[in-house]
Amino acid sequence: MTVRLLAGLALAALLAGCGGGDPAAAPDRTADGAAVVLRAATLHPGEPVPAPVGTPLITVTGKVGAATQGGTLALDRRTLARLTQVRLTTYEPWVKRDLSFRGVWLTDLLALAGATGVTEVRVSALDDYEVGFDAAELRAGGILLATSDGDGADIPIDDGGPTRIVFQRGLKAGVNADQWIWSLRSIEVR
Amino acid sequence: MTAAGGPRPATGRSARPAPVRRRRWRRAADTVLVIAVVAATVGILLVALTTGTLLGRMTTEVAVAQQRATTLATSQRTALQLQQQVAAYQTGGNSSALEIQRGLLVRQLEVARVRFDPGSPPERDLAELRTAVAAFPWHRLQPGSGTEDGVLTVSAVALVSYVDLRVRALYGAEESYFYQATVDSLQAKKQSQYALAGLVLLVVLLVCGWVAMFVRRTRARTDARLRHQATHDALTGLPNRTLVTSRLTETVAHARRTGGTATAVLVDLDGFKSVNDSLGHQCGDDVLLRVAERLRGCVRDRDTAARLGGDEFAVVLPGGTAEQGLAVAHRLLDALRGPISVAGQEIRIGASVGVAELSGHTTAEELLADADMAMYASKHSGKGRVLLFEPAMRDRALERGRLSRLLAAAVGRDQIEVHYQPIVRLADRRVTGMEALARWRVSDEEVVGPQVFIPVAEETGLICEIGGSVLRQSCRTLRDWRSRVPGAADLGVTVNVSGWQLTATDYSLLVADVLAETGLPPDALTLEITESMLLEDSDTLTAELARLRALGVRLAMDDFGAGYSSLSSLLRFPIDMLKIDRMFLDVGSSSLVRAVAELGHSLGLTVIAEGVETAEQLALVRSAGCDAVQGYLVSRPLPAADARLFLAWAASGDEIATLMAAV
Repeated sequence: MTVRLLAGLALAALLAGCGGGDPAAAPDRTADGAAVVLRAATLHPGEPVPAPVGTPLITVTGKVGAATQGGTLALDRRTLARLTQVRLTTYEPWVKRDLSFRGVWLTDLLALAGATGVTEVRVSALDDYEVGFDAAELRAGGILLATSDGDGADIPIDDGGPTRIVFQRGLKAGVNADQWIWSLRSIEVR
Repeated sequence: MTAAGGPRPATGRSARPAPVRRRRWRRAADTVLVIAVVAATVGILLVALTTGTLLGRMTTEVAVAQQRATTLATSQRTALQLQQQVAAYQTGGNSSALEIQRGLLVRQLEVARVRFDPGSPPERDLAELRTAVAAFPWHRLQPGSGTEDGVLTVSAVALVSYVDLRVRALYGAEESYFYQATVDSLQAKKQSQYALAGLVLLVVLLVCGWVAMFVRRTRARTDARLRHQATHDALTGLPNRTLVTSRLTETVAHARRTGGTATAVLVDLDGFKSVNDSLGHQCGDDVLLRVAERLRGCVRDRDTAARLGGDEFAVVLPGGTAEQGLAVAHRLLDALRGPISVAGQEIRIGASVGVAELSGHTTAEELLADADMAMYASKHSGKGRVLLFEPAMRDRALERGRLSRLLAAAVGRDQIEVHYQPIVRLADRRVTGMEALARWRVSDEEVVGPQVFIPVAEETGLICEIGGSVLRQSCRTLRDWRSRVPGAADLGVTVNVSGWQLTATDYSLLVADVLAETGLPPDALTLEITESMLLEDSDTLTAELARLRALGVRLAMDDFGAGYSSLSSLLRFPIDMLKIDRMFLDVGSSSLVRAVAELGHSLGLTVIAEGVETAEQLALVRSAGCDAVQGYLVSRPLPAADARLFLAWAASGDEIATLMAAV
């Protein structure tokens, strides 16, 4: 009787031990289509950034280390495409449904710009609308500068293009829908 | 003058049924209060809940309306910017800025549309506007007017103006709704606050009333209990002295007003002390409880049975005559006589009862005191009896009180003298001893005998002082005689001892002290004790007698044959002498005297005949074989000086021999 009980206990302990050590428990970020790295960066921070061809897609001003046009880092679509490409599916609060976007992490872009000691980043739109992110929000990550939709097509300005800021699902910085700025013009590093 | 029928004596019984009705009423009030409190509380909860829900919904609606208004305002602003861009394009021709602004408006209209419920009029409006702006051929606009495209430019401006107008209308509707919702919610909030405040106030008032009621009721109950405790005996639950006195006062007052009467019956248990002593207080309490039960069973409803304290009970009969009182008393006595079984034993307990009727008395206390005197008289006339109060009892009681006061003063003033009565041995007609007898010299002429004052002295405790004084005086006198009077060298003295003295004081120490002081041999002193004393048979008494014997003092039994004669007490106690009671001489039966004398002799005792007054009696005791005589025939008790003369005379002359021989 006692022996059988002890054996049962040992078996239970063994199972528990196996369960605890199961490597499959690691969370899969792709499972909910949240963020997928499509392509690794070919342009790294510190490397010379090529000058934009034609109208730049976005400009980074303020405390910027690397510049292409006199204190301003102006980037065209091709240059942005050389940074780590990420696909993100998230709930868009303005149209109230899940949408997919492609783009680069805002932090990657700031790193390329050689921005150090950042206290705030101000993002302004074509209609002069402005939002800001503080250092803590930037450190938390998950803020994507979307340059195209999930299928790689350009975002028409009718849908908030050509570039816009989207947030990873459940991110604190994206709770307020007003932070979902679209039709960006420039980013100012302070 | 009181009305016909008159007020009944207040007994507290007439108010009995009321509390039941009041209790029922209180219970109903309680129930109503509880229901009211519960209902009010439920009301509060309901109001709070509905208000909460309403306010929550209002808040949400207000927030939504605000968001819609904001988005619509942005859309309107964007439309105006597009209008500016169209104008600027006509003058400057920046097509990309126009394109951007157009896109932004489309985007903004889409965002605004999504804010509304699908299919609702504003949503349809906005969708329509968005499509119109998106579908307009902006790319075909040409800078500069007046061309064929001028129409297009006009159309563009008209479209944007229309968008502006429509959006403004929507914004206005939304804004007014927002304000209305805000006002409504504020109003609802205020109303609910009033309702809540009212309900809370109601609950507080109800609870306060409830608490007040509860406190009042508890206090009333406590008061009633305290009153009961103060006026009733804790053990038996009978009214106590306080209550019975107050009832008696009422009864007496009522009787005097109406010319009626009242009777008090006082009951004192006989032998209760011995039950308490021998069986313990628990049994004593049980006995008292049974007695209280029987007492209750013997009285009418309007009478009051009470325990005055200890083993003393009283019954008050309002309107009762002495005859009724006596009847109740006899009934009580009969009831009490039945055996009481306590702690597995059958105990029989009696009582002495005194009855007194109201007659010209002024106070309840006096009536109780009269009953008490009657009870006292009953106790002293042999217990277990019922006596009706007589004025003579009061006189006797007063006399007793007067005597005890006088006696106390007399002891202080040395008015207690010792007289001596000679005891003559029949064999050689010699005076062998003197019996010391206490006399109270009230004045030069008046002398009171011990039979009058000794009982009073025993009651008041003066007996110790008197006995001690007599012992000391007589021993000193004896020493004087033995040394100075010729022929009295081996004279003895006999002193009477009260049982009270033996048990209550260290009598043997006193005797030893006196013997040491006077230097008398112990056998010169004889202590007389009575038979009735020996009957008490207490350990203290036995021990004290043994100590006296150990001193060498001799013991005599006084008044043998007068009371309960117990031969066994003669055997049990270390007696040396027997004094035959004068009763035997009065009877004049020589055979009885002879029997007693022979009994004494057979036990080795000296036999003395007391109260020998005539020559016939002397002849009788002599023939019966008594050893010595004492009495008026020889001499009455004499003061010390006369006694000394008697001794000298008896020793010197043969006149006494002549006297004796003549008999």
